[in-house]
Amino acid sequence: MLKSDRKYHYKIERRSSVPFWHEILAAILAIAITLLIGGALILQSGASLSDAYSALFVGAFGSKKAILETLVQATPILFTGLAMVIAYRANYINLGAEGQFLFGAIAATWVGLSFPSLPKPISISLQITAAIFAGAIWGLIPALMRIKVGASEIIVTVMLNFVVQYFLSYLVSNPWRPENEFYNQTAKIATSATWPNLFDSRLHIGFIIGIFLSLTVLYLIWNTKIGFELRSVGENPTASKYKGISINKIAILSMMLSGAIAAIGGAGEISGIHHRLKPTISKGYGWTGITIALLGRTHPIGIIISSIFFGGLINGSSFMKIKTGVESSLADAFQGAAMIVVLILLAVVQYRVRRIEVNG
Amino acid sequence: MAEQYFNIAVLTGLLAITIRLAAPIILAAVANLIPALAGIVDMSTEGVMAIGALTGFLIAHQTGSLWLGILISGFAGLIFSLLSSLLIVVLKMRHSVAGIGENIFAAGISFYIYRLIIGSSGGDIPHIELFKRVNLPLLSDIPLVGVFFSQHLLTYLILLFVVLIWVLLFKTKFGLILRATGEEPRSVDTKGINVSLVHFSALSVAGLFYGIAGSFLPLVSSGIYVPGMIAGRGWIAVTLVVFGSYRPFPIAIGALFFGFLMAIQLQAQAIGMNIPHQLLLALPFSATIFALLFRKDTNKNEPDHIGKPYFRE
Amino acid sequence: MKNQPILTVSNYTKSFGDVIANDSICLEIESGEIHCLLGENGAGKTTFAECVFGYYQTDCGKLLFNGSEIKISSPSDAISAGIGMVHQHFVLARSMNAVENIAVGIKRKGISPGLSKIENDVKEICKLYDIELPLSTPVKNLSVSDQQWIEIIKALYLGAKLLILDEPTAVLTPQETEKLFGTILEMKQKGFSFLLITHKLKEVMSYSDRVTVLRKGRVIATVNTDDVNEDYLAEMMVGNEISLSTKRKKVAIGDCLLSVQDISAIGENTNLSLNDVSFDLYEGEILGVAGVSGNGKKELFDCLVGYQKINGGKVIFDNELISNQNPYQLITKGIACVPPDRIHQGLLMNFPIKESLMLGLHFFKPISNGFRINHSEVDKFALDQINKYQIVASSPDQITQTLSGGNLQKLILSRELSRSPKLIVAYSPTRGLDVASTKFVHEKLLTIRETGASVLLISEDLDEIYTLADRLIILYRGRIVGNSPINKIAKSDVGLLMAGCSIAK
Repeated sequence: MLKSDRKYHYKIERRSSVPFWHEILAAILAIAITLLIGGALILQSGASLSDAYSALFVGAFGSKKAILETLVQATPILFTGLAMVIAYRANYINLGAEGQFLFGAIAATWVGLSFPSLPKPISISLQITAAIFAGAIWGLIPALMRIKVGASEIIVTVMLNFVVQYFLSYLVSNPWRPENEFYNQTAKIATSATWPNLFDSRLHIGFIIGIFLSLTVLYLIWNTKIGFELRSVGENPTASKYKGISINKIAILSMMLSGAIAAIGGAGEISGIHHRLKPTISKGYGWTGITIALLGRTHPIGIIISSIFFGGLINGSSFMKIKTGVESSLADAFQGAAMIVVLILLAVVQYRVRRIEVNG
Repeated sequence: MAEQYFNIAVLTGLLAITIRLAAPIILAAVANLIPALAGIVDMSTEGVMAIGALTGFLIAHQTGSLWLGILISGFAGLIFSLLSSLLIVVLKMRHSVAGIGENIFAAGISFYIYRLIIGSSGGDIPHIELFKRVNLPLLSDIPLVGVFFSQHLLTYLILLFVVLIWVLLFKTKFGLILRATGEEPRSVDTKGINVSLVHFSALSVAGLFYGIAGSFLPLVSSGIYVPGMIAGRGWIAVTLVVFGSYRPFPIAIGALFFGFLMAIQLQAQAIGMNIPHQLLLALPFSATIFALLFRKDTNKNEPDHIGKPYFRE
Repeated sequence: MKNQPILTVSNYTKSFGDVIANDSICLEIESGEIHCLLGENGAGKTTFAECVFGYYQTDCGKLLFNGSEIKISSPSDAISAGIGMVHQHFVLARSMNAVENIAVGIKRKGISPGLSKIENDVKEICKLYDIELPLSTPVKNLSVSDQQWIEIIKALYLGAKLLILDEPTAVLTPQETEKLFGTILEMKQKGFSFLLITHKLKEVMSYSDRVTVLRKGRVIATVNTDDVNEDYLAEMMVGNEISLSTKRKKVAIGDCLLSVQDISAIGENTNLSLNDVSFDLYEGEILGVAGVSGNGKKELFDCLVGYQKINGGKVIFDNELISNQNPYQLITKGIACVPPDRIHQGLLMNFPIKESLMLGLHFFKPISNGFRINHSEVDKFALDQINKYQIVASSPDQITQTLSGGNLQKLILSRELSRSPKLIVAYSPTRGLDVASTKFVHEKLLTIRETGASVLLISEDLDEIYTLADRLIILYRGRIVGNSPINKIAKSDVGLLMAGCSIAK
């Protein structure tokens, strides 16, 4: 049969399993496409593309000072992203990292303000413990509600975010605001309560704690019995239940852990950076955490890489504004675009094109 | 003190504000019902409302026409819903993940566009002329109940839309197809009806109404646009669909209740409540959580196939 | 005068990924004929039917309806031509009633769905064929037999002249089956043609005019039913001299292993689904549990494996009270379970095979010490099982989803039997499996008895129960209505009891 006689038609079909490196490729491609989109926005705003992007890069990674500040920006989203990952592996979508983060900040502030004379290690341990409690409760509520009454944890966590946000705004404008304070914020926490800084910069031990937690979560999920149960419940709760895994216990554990991790991030942001509670401590870290959780393929190593990348983006964009006048909210547009692009690519990668020979 | 609370004037004022605050939520929630009955959990509501609010404000500001603002905001919502269709219908993504992603996308670009057009902080935020109230003759003179008849034009329009949506869903052959799709897509597919088309239409119509609902806020309530002004109303709309057992009338009642909670916060001073206003702002959200605790049979009318992507093979 | 065939299919080929489900199938159906498509599970019968109906798209092939070629790219093409289909798993909107289900998508003028006119039309059809069907009850409250009538009327209403029925009697009682075939014969007199998909040889012999045998996606033969017998068809279906009977070794029956006393449980629909159920099971015995779906089999299974709460009564296992212990405790005591839905109830489809194999075993050494997982032991165990059970897989890291049905069931069996359990509770262990895999499972269950273990075999398939079990009990509406050694009760009597009728003693 002549080659030209062969007829083919192409069919798009869903894969039964996606190779791992396809997903990595999709994430990297998403970043590339988003950079292109960002480039278009930069051009549209009249600045020079090379100037803007080089300023962005220099601002993010161009000097020791820049890198350290990038890590500072990366730290809070490392925590919120990690929080999302732990819950997601158990098939819980925790959108409440924002609220759990804030609640942890409130808890740490409480310790810092109430116990000013504690020695530093004790104060910090107490702050972290208080934050863990706060975050765990804020994670427990949606878990219990899904288990007991079948309420969607997506809705409950979003509601809880608003509740904590308003509660915090109440605290800093009323009971926790010192008499003579003009702005809506608390007094500064005692110096003995602040988290030590690293390398003479704004970077604090929170970053180290975050990395440590990421590696711990990595070990937990793939090397322990509990981690296997977590993943099993996320993959197939019915089969897990038939085989003796307590799906309620796992759900509660994962959500409490998730909330606690986000809360520790909040504590760090207070005691490491701001040293007082004010309404603006979170710049949407919870939502950015969702984006990096997706980009990082819900894997702790991916989270570390993505959070540093986004930290660089946020850090670099303020330098970019100074240097080239490009609107710094480009970082927000970038983040939004990155989210959609990565979602689309990850969905596309689920399919393959198959060539089918047509005979007769 | 009780007299203060039950003073007719105070109650009337409260009721009037309740309706105004509830209107966009009613529309967004009932619109969310359309994809829900077709089997799609549409969580993009908050984001599309934000797009609608920004668009409506900008158009009204640039052209001076409020009606054009509404029209274009609906159109913007429709365009944005194409993204929903891409993610959910074409790529068969998990519905909740798609909706969350769209929210983040909408937040990012609406903030960027806002900053670009209005300029960075420091400039003064432009105001626009609001919709005027229209008092229906005679009916609006009835004490208390009369507030229902002295609302803004856009509010009446919204109520009209709600009735239209109810008719569409439950009295037409299209509604029958849509509801059958949500229960069992194969029942519709094996009759030769294109399930993707049903889903696409449902999402598009819903997006249109989300945009209009969003524009209500700057064009009727406040006259300005502030990033984040939707403040959770879209999420409440999504929750109301479940609360209202997937039926328009209970959903509307639920939305009125939330409007009432929000009205209390605004009128706290007037009715002599001494609770700090931030805690009252948190009230609708904590109320939602409490109410979710007591949902017993709200799954009664839940479409069987909701939330699951549909594959033939 | 010979009419032309109503349906002529040539060279239908359909593949899913690398698997060729239908390979150049050619088939012809005469007008007014009942044509059976026969084959074992996995032969490709349903795939072919769905291709004819346009639900699946073939890779290539031609279709002629009443002599003219039509291109079928979607069900609407098939429906316009006059092809209707009653699928194996019903496609009804469960909260809507019969009329609404039939009305969906009916083209008419105006925007109203026209329910009252359609209701009258449906009443006419029911009168014509003497069908009793509640028209305003939501489908979820109707019996499977009623639901099937809705599917048939739905197809008729859309103008079907050729009806494809996919395994229509799989979920019917013997009496409902009789009524169905009675109506089919009536419709045949009126000129309708049928493509009947089945694997039940008795039905083929009793009702069909011609039969096409499918094996591994290919047509083996098309014959006149009058020219053949069951054995011939069986051989065509399976391909070699597989003796369909499995050898039973006689095993000594021991003491009472499981004693279920007056248990009750509330099922999903909050009607009392199990009512004072009592029976005993002895060591080395296979006890069959028969019953129509929805009469308590699922609840019995779930109660005995710890998935569902027991509301009253006792379960005693190995002289120990175990009612309402959780699945983990039951696993440690030596109870294994093979669930009816291997994909949704038994395996981790998106995980590697070795992790599906770990499920339920991850509590114990050597796989884990209670905290840490020993990865090398996991790999070793997986390789062991793959070899022992001849599971077709290239490595333990292969994703579970990619395995065939038979291999998936082998995964489950190997996992469940690996701890040498004393009791295996198996529910429809061979559902959807081809003959070779079915034989494998049956043999494993029979050999298990030789170690003194017992099997509680819950099954829809009476033939399977009769092949394997020593005794059987029958569930109807949550109660036991029969308890007898296998050789003392006829299959037809079991059928009657399953349907709630009484039998002559």
